[in-house]
Amino acid sequence: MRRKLNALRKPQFRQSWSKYALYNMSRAPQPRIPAQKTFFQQKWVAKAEVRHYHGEHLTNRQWQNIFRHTMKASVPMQNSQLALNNGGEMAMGRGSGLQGDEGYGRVRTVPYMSQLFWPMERRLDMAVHRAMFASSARQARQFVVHGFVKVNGKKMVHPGYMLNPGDMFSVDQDQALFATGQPKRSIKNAEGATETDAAAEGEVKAQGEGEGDKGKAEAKEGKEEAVEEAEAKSEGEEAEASSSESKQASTEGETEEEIKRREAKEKLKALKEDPNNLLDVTKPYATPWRPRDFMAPFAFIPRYLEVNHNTCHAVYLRHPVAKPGLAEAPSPYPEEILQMAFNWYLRRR
Amino acid sequence: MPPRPPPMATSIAKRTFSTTTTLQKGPDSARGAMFAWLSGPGAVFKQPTGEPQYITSYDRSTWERKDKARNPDAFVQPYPFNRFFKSQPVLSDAFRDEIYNRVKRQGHSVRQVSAALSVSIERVAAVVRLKQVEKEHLAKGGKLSTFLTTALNQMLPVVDLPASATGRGGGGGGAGGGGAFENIQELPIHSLAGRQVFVPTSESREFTRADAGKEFGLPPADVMVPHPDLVTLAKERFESVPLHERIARQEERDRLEKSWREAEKVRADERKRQKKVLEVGRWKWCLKEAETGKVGFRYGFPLPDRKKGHVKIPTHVS
Repeated sequence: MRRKLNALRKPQFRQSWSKYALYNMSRAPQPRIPAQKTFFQQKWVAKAEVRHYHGEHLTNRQWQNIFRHTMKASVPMQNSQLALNNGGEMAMGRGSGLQGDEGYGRVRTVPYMSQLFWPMERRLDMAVHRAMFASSARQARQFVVHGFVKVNGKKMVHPGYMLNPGDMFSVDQDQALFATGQPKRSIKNAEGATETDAAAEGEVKAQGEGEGDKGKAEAKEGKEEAVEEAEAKSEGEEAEASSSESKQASTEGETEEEIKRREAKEKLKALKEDPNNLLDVTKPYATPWRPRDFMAPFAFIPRYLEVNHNTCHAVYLRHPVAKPGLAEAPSPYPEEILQMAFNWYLRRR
Repeated sequence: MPPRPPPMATSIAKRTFSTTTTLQKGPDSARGAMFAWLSGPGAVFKQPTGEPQYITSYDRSTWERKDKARNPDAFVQPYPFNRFFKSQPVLSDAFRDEIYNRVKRQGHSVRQVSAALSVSIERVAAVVRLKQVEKEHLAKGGKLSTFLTTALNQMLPVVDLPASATGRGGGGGGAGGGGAFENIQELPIHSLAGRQVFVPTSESREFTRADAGKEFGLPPADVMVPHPDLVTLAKERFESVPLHERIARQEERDRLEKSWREAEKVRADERKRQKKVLEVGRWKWCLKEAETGKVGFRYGFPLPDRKKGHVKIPTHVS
């Protein structure tokens, strides 16, 4: 496994919520296939590109073993169409309907090639990441290996376990909250937290990089309490500032978006009042829990999962499918790249 | 081995071990540019704003928010270069509670709830399972991370319970106000249907869906969809069958399905009574007639479960 996941010199897509991944995604150029190269080279380039994101921590062989050249798809059917016609009109004339394909208007294509990595999404570690229980695929893998993940109520320590439709998996609540929450501040930052807070933000403090090594954050209890106090203090100040802001804003004329933002801010502040969200120094994350920074641009839950974040349980409903104009398997790459990579994995080079 | 001497406390021990030069730390460096972006245009992504904030909803050069009316697709697309992957809404907590109540308290079938709320059958079943787990978790004295759900609802697209559902609107099919949550009549493409076939028929013959299905060895699409009842209902509506008649027929169909289910249960119980199925702890033994020497463990035949090269990851968890 490579040591450094996110490099700034060459921006690449990574399956992680770190701010480095976000910055790289914000400026990465559109992946293109060089037209002047040979077909073999084009396939190689595409394959190398997609492997930066999909199963980056797996060996090529591990992925090739689960690769399937068949893609799952589904067709949206309309009750009224099924009731009105028996399908005979589609075979009229010379076999393709009286008007041919024009009779259906603009038909959206089914992006089969964007589904290339659907078997990857079946893997337990990937599903844990997609259900937003882990901040990166690597962290999800670590959760599985460390025994924090259960499948159908039984501990499953194989990240390569392929979920079957109907499987229910769960992650230890503390671990999921650790992955999605703010990290505990270090002792150094806490001592002058109120003043140095803003400065620390811009400083070279790659907290996103250190995912998974929460064990290191352990410290003596007395000091921890000091940290929590400092945190609570800074939080309180922020809350006051924001409430005065919101009072000012509510008096002025606001756009709909501004109102939404203000409400969101208030809701986030109100997280502290949640009776379940208590100050607890024994937790591996900062308490009271708050969402980690730069998480929103990565937030989505694919439709093949049904997730309950109250208990950190999720159900793998079915395999990801392609539909007209929609591919359910998440991927940052355009269809052309995935198609070339597909051709590489077909092994007819 | 003798114990190691403690490290000497000299001035060398105090020096910083960072190999980063001052040039690399500056604002013109790659890192400096990153933090400038994160505190500048990227600051909008730092905390949730009550609606999805994807990179695609901002212009990549000016970092101004795009016009939502003109390109609505940009606001549901998490990855800038994959226009086929979209962030689809999730069910709100109130919606999930309603599904659970209808199935568990009001005793509706999963299929009925699916048709009434326009949520797929598997999802309704999963929501009920997850809610059940939640109740058991609470009963055991566990705590719910409701704050996590609240925070995620500030960054995910969320669909709330349709207004028609709250007012006990019994009438069939689909959410009233904000459109259906998902299309419940999604027909999965069967692997048998991936074949290309050339069937010569006479021009005068009407070649229907049922005929096409027969060619592929599949039932027609009207039967294969998750809710064939809804198709029948739509057919009856187009045939202008009066409403009370339609309701009566649907009730009859529901009754038939229920009786079929009960008969199935009776059959299973019968098998169990005859000791053909033994349930011992987590195991369920299905006993069948077998001839000696044809099945089971064979003496002298090696079991490959410890052999190199065999995949030992389980394929299912019961």
